[in-house]
Amino acid sequence: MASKKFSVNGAAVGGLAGGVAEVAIQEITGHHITSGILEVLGAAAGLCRLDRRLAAALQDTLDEARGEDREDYRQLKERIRELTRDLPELREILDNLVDAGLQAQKA
Amino acid sequence: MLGLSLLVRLGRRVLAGPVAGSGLLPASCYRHLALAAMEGEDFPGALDYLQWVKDPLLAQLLVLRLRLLADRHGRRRQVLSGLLQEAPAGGTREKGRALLLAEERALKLLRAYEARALGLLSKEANLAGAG
Repeated sequence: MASKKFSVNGAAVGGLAGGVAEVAIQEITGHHITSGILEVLGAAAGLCRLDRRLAAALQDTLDEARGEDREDYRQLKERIRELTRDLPELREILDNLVDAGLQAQKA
Repeated sequence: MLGLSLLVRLGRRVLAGPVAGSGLLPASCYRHLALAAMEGEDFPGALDYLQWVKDPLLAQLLVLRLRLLADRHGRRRQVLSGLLQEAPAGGTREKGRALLLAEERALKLLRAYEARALGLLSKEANLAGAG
């Protein structure tokens, strides 16, 4: 494995160059570019994680609904429909997920 | 980068208690907290965070999870009732009765949570209708 070398001088020069660039951009455009970039990156990263977390929560719920005896997808669909009669958005999403599972089972 | 990450985590932990309850954080943060609470089966916590999220999908997901759990407890209660009818009087019967009471308490609690989540949903629907 190649050894990593860290340079304090390099870090200081990099930091200074970044600071100068930030001040220059701020003077020219009047905007704090780095905080803007960090905000956008942070929000994007947060949203990616949230969507993944929501997808995982939906999948967990489907697994929970399928039960320990691993119900057939058709039975699962019936059960989900019964339990989500008054939850329209969720029913649509879970219906699509179960359909995807059915297609995968057929393939 | 490691230091920054630790700082962010520490900040989150410090803010999670006093600030999270005030509704001052962005909605995406509450979505994150509500999902984490749901994953940990902390239903009262999830309900508290959901009031700041205003996302009907998350509230519906919580309702479904509660119904699935209630369904499981309902089936257990049914099996226990059947066993209790056949069980002879004595220690086993007393233990069975205690388990049945615990299942009934759990069901009652889950239904109360479900009612709260449905209340949040109808409140959001009313707000959306008015807006």
